[in-house]
Amino acid sequence: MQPTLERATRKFKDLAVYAPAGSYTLLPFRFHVLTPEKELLVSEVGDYLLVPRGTVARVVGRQLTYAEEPDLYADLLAGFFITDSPELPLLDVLATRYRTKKAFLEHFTALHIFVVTLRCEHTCHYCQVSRVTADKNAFNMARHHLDQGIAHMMRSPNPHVTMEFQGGEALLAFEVIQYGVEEAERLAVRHDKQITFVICTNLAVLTDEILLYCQQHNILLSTSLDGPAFIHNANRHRPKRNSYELTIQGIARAREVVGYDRVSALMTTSTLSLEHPLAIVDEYVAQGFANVFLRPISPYGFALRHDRKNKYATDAFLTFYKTALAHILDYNFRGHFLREDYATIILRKILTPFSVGYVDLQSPAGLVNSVVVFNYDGAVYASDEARMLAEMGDVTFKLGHLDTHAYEELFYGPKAREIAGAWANEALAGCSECAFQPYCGADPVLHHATQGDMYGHRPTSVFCQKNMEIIRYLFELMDADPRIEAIFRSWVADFT
Amino acid sequence: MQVQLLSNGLEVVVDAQTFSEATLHKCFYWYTRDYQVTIQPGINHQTQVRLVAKEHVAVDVTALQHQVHNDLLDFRLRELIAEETRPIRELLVAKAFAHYAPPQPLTAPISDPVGFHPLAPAP
Ligand code: SF4
Repeated sequence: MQPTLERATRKFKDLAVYAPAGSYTLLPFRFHVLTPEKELLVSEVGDYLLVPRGTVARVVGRQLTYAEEPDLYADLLAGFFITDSPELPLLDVLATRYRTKKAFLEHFTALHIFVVTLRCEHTCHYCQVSRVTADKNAFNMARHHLDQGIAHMMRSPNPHVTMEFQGGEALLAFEVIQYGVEEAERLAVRHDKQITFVICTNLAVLTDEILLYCQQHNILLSTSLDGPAFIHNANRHRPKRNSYELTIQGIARAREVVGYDRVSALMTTSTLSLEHPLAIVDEYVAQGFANVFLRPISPYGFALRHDRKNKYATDAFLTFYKTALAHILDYNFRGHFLREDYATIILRKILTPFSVGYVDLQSPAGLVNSVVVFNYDGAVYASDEARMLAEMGDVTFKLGHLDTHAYEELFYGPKAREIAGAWANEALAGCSECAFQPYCGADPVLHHATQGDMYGHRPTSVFCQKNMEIIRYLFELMDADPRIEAIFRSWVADFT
Repeated sequence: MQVQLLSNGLEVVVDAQTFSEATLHKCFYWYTRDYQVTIQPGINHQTQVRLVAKEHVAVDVTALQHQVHNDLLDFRLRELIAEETRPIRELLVAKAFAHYAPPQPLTAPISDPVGFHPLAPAP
């Protein structure tokens, strides 16, 4: 009998031909109980899937079949939670994605903070570091320290570095900034570096000459705006109680000369701010900003090592944060684009495959890996918070001194290695099992300051309490309303 | 799993063959903010876990019992996933960073017979 010849065809075969054969292999993932009804699966590379409570138990117990639940099965396959191929053909893809997520490590330190002076004409009640003095040169950074700091910056393997000038009030030492900018520009040519210059300033002592200089040298201005006048002036004391007025005038003048988008503002949350989330958001809109950064109340300088007080302060911040975020979403519902920066950082990690290195929320932590601080007196610290601690008498995170330590000793020395023991959340108790690990980070300085130990205790950590709830809440919002997910996606759309 | 309610906490006895020591420690780590936690391995694979509320904590023992039950099952699932996927996870991370090794300087002299390298000794 003649065998029947099957005609070659380019049509898709029946779906049953592609149906996987029963068993599957688990790929690494973690899960979090988001609400009593839902649980969230997060893969090793940060892909997520929201499913009904009890699904993980069924997946692990091999109770899931393609025939009965083709959509869920396909979602689990596509999100790298399971594989039905024993050879793991996509391991290389996963490895590349994992590497991409950690790409912020590739170039090492980017942000170099130069504290050019400690002098300030404000006396803000939450500021631990500034000094008011009539002596113009006291507490300014010396030229040779500036030179050494710039030399270290040029040695960073990172081709794109940021040179950020801070104070006190940095503009009170404008001649130090000028020298630093010009010296760095000169050396950048030789070392093939691209430098972004930033001055952090309250804008109170701004002059036309300073603005012109910033415009000519492409310098970004970062200022502080805590909210409307009654909040800003209460937080930021100045002899004439006119900090708000000077800031608003300064923002307008700077936008005119330096460029509208080259002036940014940050808020510091105080106890007073916590009562006024809507007014703060409205103030940012009134001043023409398209973003607000709702920064947590800082534990440095007040409660510090008091777990319960810190917890109450974080509870109050979370209530403030959620109210303000709802108000920001309302603006977006009405067609006004307004973005919250902290949520945006987390959403970039959740909704895009790219690497997001944000010094306060990354693993390994930003200390040394992404940021270093050269203090006015030549001391070198692992982060800005590390410097604040030092001003309060705790030099745990001092990496060394510009006069006495070489680049290798500062960046790869014993102190950096000690901090490294606590800077990866993959290896911290609590975090190692946490589904939010790819979206969160580690903060050895905060844990040392609040718990007396860099490693930290997650159940009482304000860092964990804040991030776990904010991340959980962002997922809950996206799940509750597809319009919110669309808004969140618009916040990260420009990020590649 | 046997549970005994206390006025300010509870005591559970679990089978150590089902709930490993690691699972118990990972699970009850999260209770250490509000409770004094004691984990006591006993005979016949029975491990006793005792949670006693710290001073500032108001306890609803029924809710606590419910929470402990759910958490134990969830942490056991987490351990099953972690154990089963450990080799893949290790391979994944190793592969991801395989090319991060700094370039090793060549110790042997390189010959440059064509003369590509400007500083190489002439062939
Ligand atoms: S700090 Fe908390 S939320 Fe962040 S990864 Fe660790 S356990 Fe999860």
